[in-house]
Amino acid sequence: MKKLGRLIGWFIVVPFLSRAQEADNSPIHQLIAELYEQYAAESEEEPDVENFFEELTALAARPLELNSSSRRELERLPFLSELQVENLLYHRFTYGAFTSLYELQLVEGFDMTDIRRMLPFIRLGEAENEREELRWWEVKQYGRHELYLRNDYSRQSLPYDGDRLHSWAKYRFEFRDRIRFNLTAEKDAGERWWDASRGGVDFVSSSLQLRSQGVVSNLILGDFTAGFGQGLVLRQGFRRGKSAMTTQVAIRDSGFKRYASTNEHLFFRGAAATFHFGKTDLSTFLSCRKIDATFDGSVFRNIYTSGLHRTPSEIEKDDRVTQHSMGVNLSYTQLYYELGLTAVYTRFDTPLQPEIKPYSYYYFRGSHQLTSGLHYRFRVHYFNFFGEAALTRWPGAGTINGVSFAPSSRVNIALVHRYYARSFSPLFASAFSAQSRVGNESGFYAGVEMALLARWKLSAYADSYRFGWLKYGVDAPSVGNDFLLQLQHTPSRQLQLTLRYRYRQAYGSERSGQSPLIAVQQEKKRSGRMQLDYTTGRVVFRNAMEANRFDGTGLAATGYAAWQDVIFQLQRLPLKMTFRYLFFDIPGGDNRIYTYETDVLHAFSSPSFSGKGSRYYLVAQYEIGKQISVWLKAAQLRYADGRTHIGSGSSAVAGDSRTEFHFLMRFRIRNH
Amino acid sequence: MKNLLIVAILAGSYQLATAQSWFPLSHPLSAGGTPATDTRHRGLFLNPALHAPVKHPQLYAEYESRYSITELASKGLAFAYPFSHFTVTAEFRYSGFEAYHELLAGVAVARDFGGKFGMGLQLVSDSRYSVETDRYYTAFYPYLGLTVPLSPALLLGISTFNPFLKKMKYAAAERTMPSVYSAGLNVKITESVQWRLQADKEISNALRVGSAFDISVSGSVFFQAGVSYLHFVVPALGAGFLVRRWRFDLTATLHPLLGLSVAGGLGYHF
Repeated sequence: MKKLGRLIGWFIVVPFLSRAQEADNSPIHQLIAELYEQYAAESEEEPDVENFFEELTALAARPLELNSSSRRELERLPFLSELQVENLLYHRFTYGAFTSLYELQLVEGFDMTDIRRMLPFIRLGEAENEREELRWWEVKQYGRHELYLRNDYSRQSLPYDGDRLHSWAKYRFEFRDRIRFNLTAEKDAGERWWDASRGGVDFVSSSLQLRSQGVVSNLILGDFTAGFGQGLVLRQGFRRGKSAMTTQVAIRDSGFKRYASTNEHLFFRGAAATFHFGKTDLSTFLSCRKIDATFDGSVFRNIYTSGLHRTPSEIEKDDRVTQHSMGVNLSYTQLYYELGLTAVYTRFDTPLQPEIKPYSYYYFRGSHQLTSGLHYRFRVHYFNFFGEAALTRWPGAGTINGVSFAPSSRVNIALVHRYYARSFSPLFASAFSAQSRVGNESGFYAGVEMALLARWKLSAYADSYRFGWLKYGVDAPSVGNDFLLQLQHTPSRQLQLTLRYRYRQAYGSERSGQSPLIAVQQEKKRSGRMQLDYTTGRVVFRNAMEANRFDGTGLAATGYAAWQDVIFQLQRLPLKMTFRYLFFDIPGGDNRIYTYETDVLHAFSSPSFSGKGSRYYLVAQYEIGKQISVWLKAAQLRYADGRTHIGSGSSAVAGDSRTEFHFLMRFRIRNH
Repeated sequence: MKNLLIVAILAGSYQLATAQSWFPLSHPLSAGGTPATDTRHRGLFLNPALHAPVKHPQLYAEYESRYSITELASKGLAFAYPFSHFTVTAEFRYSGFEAYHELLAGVAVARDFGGKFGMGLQLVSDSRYSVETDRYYTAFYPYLGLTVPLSPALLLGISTFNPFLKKMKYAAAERTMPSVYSAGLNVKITESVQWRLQADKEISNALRVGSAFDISVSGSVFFQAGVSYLHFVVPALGAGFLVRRWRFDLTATLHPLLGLSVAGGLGYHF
């Protein structure tokens, strides 16, 4: 009884005594929410932002020193445009070192939104000496250990052998920005905890990263991702396409990153290193890993990317093909320009032969592929040019070229042209495009951001594209147009109003399937959103409403959704809570609406809604002293349209509601 | 004949079926159906957060003659008592006739957070009686409300009634009960003129929008003119006055198909 009393006392009293402020992840979550929601609305795939989040979290844990950061370091801030980075460097050069972070308001092209986004990632103070020799006693003493344990539980029983828990555990070690190690183990809901025939836990990933070790600026052993240039040859992970950040279309970050996500597909496994020689960087990697695949006789038809192994047919796809990859990138960086060459060679132990259908006629087939490309960036006055050209096997070529510039301090413009031949089908590309696949597309994009008046910001883009060959779901060559217009009003630090209108015109195939002829129809989707963010003290309110209209041949429907978020942080307890109530009335799948959801740390989702119903959740975060943090999410989705099943196929569950609980616990050991 | 008419209307007319499903949220005194931000505090079962600024204990009685049909009339009573940190309100409304009637009762707790925002939570009990079964069936819903003054002249009001889609369980079946999300704005154009705008979305119905102008003359006489739209344009006119501790409200609403409804309210604050 005494012990119980102590335990309760510890849980309640320790937080009061604790004065340590954890790095607040809200700005990172907010930034990811903005990017994620945009991306999810454009793509059929769920973006993997877990690694992106890891990078931002690491950056927030070790913010950039504003007066000594190089251009390349500042370009790690994904929300800053090239011009903003340029203006910041110019300001520092002209007026000397920043004496206060508030001085950022004087830098041309920065508004309060930009500064608010930057604050968690920058600092003023002593610069770190990256070349300093590693002392192992310092590593031991000042290294930071973190252990994350997560369980997601669904109340509805699943039709699989394994239990309904989705669980993962992550261990992470960091010493400044020099040494990082992580180990991840995961099982999805419906998978077995332990399957000896498949090597134990469903997914295990690990990596060790060493930075700034003499001439080796970055070394990773284990799992990693790679990205160079504009992503025409090689880029894995979160791809930023069209979004409300309309002029941020050039990809700037490059190199190897350790892999810490639970996504079971988007990574290499082996070794990667970057060697730094003055202005030249040489990056090279070697990878050998098993990938999941759907087999048909002696060939495989496609790569299975979901990572789910719940049913015998899913388990049958597990680790069926060995993929060997090697690659190299050579980059030369000068003050005003950068040039690079990237080449990747991949070999499968079994040939890839996608089923021959008209739309997949030009997909990559074979057991090996070499992709190579050249990328560039250069600056002339206020113009920043960027681009890349790549080749798989002739005539499989692709190129993307763009420019961003600011005709005045209040206007930013970005123009991008891309051409990807129909036979251009690189295995690891992730570049700017209107579809998730890079290939069979040409188009022109124009984006603009204008500070109309003080506190008013207008963003817009127009993207016109053409698919020269058939694509999945469209049985003829087709064209499309996307437009976005967003008006943002920030009358005070506490209040922000966002109005967004999006119009999309594309082609889809006739749904009835009755016609023997190719029947392609024009489809239009218009959507409007109004969002109001209001902060008062420790409480944040967010109201949003979205309505859309879809028009296809013989189909026209209007959908609505509205939601209310209340986020509050208690004053006396280290407890933060987020509540959402959302309702939706969305008649069809074509009208589906995406909304970003707050979740436990390291979890991201932007579910799409269709049908009639409501969803509500409560997320609580509680800090138990300096070492332990706990997150809990309880959520329910309830339909009011009389359905008796949720989901489809083998994952359908009976009933008109779905209840889920997410739990995450973080143990943190900091030796200083 | 009248009973037949009532039954026919209740059972057959789509428009009235819609009206019927909205019945628990009827706000006949707030012109244009704009109770989410009706700071004059007219009627019962308003946005629960609007109870937060109540300064004195008060009693309020409401009567509505719906479409001039006695059997559809409703009678209600409310009592609000402000404590030092929050206000507690008890409300009760009876509507219908002997063979079929509905009893709506609610207890609300509302708090004003230093003028920065107000929140209210009401637990509503909805009981229905039908002579066919000769018993009452009851369901309980939460009714949540929020008011946020975005500026001295602009008030945002949000409320959600039955957010968890609770159903009424009858002997042999379940009936989905109304679940309504409302968002409204109150713009103080001048000290004496307010403009209210509200959108309501019941989960199984189309969007309803309403708007009203609210004019005060010398702080003791009020006039309202509003209009709402859900399949039909429904205009409403209202007036009210304060005499010492007493207040009186009267609002007339004209539905183009179903006819005229008149509602009156009488309040007293202690």
